[in-house]
Amino acid sequence: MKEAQKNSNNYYEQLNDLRQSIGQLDEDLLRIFAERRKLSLKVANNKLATGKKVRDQAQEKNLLSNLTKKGQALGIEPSVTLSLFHNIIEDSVRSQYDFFLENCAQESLEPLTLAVLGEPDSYSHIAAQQHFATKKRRFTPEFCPNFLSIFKSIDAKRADIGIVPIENTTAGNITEVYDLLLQYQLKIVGEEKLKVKHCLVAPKGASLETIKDVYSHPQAIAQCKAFFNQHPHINSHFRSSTSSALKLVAEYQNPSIAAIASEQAAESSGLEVLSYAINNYQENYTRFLLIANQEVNVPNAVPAKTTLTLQTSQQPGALLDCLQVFKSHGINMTKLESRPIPTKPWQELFYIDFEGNANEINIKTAISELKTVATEVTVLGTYPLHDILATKLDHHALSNQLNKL
Amino acid sequence: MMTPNNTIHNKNIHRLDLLTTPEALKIKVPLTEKSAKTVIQGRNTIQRILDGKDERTLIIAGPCSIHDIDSAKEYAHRLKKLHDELSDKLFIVMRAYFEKPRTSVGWKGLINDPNLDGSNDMNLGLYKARELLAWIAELGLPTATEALDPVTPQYIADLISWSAVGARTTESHTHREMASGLSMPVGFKNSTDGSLSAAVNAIISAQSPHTFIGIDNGGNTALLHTTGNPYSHIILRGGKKPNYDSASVEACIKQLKQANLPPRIIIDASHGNSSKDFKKQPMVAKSVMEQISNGNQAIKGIMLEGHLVEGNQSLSENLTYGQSITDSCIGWQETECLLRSL
Repeated sequence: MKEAQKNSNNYYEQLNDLRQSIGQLDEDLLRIFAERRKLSLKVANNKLATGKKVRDQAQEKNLLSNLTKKGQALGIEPSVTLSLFHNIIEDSVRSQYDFFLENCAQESLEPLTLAVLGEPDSYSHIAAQQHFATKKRRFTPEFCPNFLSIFKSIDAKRADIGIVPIENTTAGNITEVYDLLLQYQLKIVGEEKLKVKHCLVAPKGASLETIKDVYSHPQAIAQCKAFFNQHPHINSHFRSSTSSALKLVAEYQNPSIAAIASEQAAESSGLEVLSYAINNYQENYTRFLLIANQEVNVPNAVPAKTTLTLQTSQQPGALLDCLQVFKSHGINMTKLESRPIPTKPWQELFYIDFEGNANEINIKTAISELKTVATEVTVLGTYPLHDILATKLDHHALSNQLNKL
Repeated sequence: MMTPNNTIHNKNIHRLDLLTTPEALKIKVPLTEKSAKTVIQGRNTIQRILDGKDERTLIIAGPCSIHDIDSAKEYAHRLKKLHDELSDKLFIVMRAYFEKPRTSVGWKGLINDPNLDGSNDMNLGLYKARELLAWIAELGLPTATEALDPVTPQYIADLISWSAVGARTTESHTHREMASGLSMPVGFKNSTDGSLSAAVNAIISAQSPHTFIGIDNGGNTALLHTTGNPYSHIILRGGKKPNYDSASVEACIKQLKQANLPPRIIIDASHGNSSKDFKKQPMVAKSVMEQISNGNQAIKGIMLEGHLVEGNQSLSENLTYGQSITDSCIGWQETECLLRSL
């Protein structure tokens, strides 16, 4: 009996020691990561001086293949090494882009006032935090009750910048924002993509069996339609925001009433998360636009994207003529969206996103050509591209390495 | 053919207005951190006084009704000074009454008719009431009110530290249910004829759980399930004759004990206890204070009706600043002298 007690004490101490050692290593990892980030910024400084591009695919490939080899010698699978370093490289590239941008704009480091929808931990707020994570400049959120007040706030210069959702990969476009973009003629100065995980949030003691009514923003409910189809006894109800839905659940304290909201908001509301990611598709993303009065200057070293609107004449093939311009200049269009023009019934306005910087010669020529075939062309802004594609090691290189082992 | 709906339903209702939701009003006039502190501390102190854990006497002083925000703010400002100065013996709370039940008809209070002209703009009234309560709470002075309409607490109760149910509504089932769910201590007044049984029954009822129809923060109808309010107590306000004297207080204690209720009493120095003569209030208050000094531990507090200017006036174009437009009040000087002498 005593022996058993002693043994269990020993095991307990052992576990404690191991945990402490791991904790120490994790801190070392963090410190090393921070040092790596500093070095990466020095590299950016060097590239800025020599006029080199931020990304060097050949250099990245070299680095990755080297690392996977060394990893294998240490017993780490190449796939594990790759996924770890893709994250590190993404952060590094983003930090370097932001360094170039900040350097180019010669901005002050005063925090920006950022108009954002909802309340703390709304999806827009989370996207804003993600956007500023690699920037030197911080922001102070100004929470707005609706999209219109975000645009008004920037227009009246109460806020320096704003963030608005523009499209979701499951539920589609947020058409109201498209219309406001045109109405207020603000500039698009950036974009951010957020992987959205909708959580089912309820008071203590609730379960999928007790829940009858679920409240949330219409967008969130649309992105979780499959959940409601699978649980036909649960009714969905609209609220003006996910935070207002959470407040209702907190007020009712009733095991039959739940909300759909972000994990962060659920945690700070003190309610329980019954189910993480109840969205129809696990790969569920919302793209946000950053908007401001002044356009940004995107340096050549940073990959850019441009958004413009155009109206065509009412002749057959008018849109095709416009699209032909993109093709002939080798410009990659990433989005084409049409919206009705309220003052001209049955005529359409087209929103086009494409890769490229409106300051490049090629793009400038394309835009002036567009003006000859379209009736009206307005550039809404050139801004840094959000996506940082992971450099892939080709299969051949990987299998070669495996054979050498 | 379908019968037009209003020939059998809502026959005597000629119009409906949309009313702001509690949620929307609270966004316009939020509960700040400082005002939340005032309310929480105010409620805790009053509960401790009712429990006998705080020896001080609760004083609820202020206008019979509030009809003008400026004079109410000035009164609050002056009362806050006394609240701080006299805090070793008294716990002073401001009476801020926005809802006035009338004997027959008349002005029904700031929430109901903030423009004093019968236009009954309750959206404005609720806003003005909440704005004033938030201002006073921000000042650090707790407030007391009468809970008359069972829905209005959803709009303003988070800023209030103590509530009363009036003599005419103590017997009302609706008000007992409401009191069982209120977050602050609630006093029930004895009946206008002086009998205590309605108030005693009201306390028993309010301390028990109830289920009734109300609204939620978003303004939707909801079923409210209450836990019961353990801090409900009686207020002696006099009847056909005053009941603040020691014999009446003893009789009240006896009746509370018979009903298995803790003996905790607040005495209203006005109304039946001043025989409808406001000038008698200081005399009543002093006499009650004497009973407390003589060792009566059941008396927890005193209510006074006072404003900046004594007396009252009828509603007219040219109102005197700082004077009541409902029942007569004692003036500020008299209030200050009285409170300092207690």
